[in-house]
Amino acid sequence: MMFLRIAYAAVWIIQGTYLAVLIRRYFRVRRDMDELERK
Amino acid sequence: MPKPSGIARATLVKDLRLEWRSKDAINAMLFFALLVVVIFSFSFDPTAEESRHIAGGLIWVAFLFAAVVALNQTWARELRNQVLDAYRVSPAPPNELFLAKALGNFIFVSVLEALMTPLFVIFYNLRVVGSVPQLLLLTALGTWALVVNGTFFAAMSLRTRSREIMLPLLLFPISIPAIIAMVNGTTAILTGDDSPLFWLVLLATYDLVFTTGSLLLFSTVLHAE
Amino acid sequence: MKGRRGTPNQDRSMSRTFFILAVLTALLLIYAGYAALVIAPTEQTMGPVQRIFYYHAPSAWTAFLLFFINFIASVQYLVRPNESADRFARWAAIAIGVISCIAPFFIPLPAGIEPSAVATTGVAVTAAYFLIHKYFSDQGADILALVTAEVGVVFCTIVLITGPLWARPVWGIWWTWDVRLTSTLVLWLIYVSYLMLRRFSTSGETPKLAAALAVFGALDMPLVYFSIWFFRTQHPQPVIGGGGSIDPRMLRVFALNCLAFTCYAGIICWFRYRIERMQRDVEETRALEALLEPRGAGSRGLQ
Repeated sequence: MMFLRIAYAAVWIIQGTYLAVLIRRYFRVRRDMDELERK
Repeated sequence: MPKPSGIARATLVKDLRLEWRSKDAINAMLFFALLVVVIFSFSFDPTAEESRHIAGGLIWVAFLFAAVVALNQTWARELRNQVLDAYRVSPAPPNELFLAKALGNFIFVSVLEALMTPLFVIFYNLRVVGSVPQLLLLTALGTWALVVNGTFFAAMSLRTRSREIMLPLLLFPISIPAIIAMVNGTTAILTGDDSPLFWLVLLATYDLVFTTGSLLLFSTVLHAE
Repeated sequence: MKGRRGTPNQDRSMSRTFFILAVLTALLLIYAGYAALVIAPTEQTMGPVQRIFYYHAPSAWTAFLLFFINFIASVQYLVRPNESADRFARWAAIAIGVISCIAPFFIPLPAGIEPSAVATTGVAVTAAYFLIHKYFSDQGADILALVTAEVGVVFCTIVLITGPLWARPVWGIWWTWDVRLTSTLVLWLIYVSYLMLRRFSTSGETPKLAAALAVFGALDMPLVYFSIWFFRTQHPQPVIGGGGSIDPRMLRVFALNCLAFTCYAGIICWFRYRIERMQRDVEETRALEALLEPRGAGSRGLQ
């Protein structure tokens, strides 16, 4: 059923987007920490 | 040292007197509310019977917007003249200050409602089928619900970017049960179809819960710098 | 920052335990999804669309759990600085646990509510309160509140999107102001406003303000539920999600998905918590450096 597929896709797109945002923030903070370490 | 309640009373009297002399806020609120009424009139063209069903919602939306205009400037004057710092170090308990502010706002908004109601009656050909004292009680409880949370959130939004938009953003979601009660209670009384009793009890509970909560937490908010 | 909390490497990467648990959670999620789509029996009246339920309801459960933790963490953040308030709150938590184990068996409860459910919830409140008190510092409680609010909003968004997607094919309407979905919408609005306060507040005590807002939100929710419930009894409409009994096989799949989502939420919260800690460390170090810099270098920007 179309709605079923859309719903499941929506769930994982939303979770996936949030996870991607978190991962990007994680690497950015790590980079900032490295910079501060080096100073 | 002046009695603490004297400070609160002095605050209330000062606010009322300042407002009476300049009539800044009242004029702005009144005109804004009038505009809302007129614009809504253009959107809906109800018969007398229909208008009794929708007037409840329209009236409270108009009052809500007008109340936000009033609440936004609650603390603005204090902020401009560093009066807040004086309050923080004064011996008056923060609760009394909060009550004074909330009462001041309550009076402003009530005056506004009293002035707007004839307009609504005229524009929508309203006639109250149910009991008028109940309607007055409902209005008082509803106004206090908006004002008590509004004053609290206005203090919370003092130190935020876009302060004016933060207040409605915080106030509206929390006020939803009160708004539901106000609108449905008003409709119940105007149409005479249902008993507004449940809504009155709900509003009274809401007022009790949030007045207590605001009093308990206001000192935290006042000292947040 | 060097050597302040163990070696630098320990500071910046997620632990091995985290990765093992993350992989296990992923496997659990895959299995739970498979169970929802294949193992669970097809519902008679609604057909395959009903399987949305296995994502809709567990997401709601997870969101409510997260907001519950946010509430406890917010209360802690508010009361802990004050000795007597802290003691009062601890006794209140114990009292809630004790009363909820005794009262439901002697007082008549509204229909549909089991005494054991009330008891479990009460004990959960007590347990959560003391666990958070023990394992989280004041600042830790604040970060916990922020993290659970954020992740909770994500799960709540999923509830609000899957709900209408389920309602439309089954009942023909996208939205009905039914009690559960509308209450969830209001909860979502309150927590979005919470996140906005966190983001836009320039006060030094934003955590305290946000905690106060969270407490207000929690006080509000019962009123929200009752006001909408009464409104609905006056203007009845179909209830999204339906009520009634449920096939035990469906119940198992539902529970499995609840477990999977809860584990996933835990992993995400752990990750987000660590990111926030690292972020605050960075900001603290930067602030300190700006303070300690010699005047000439520091006022470069003002020239």
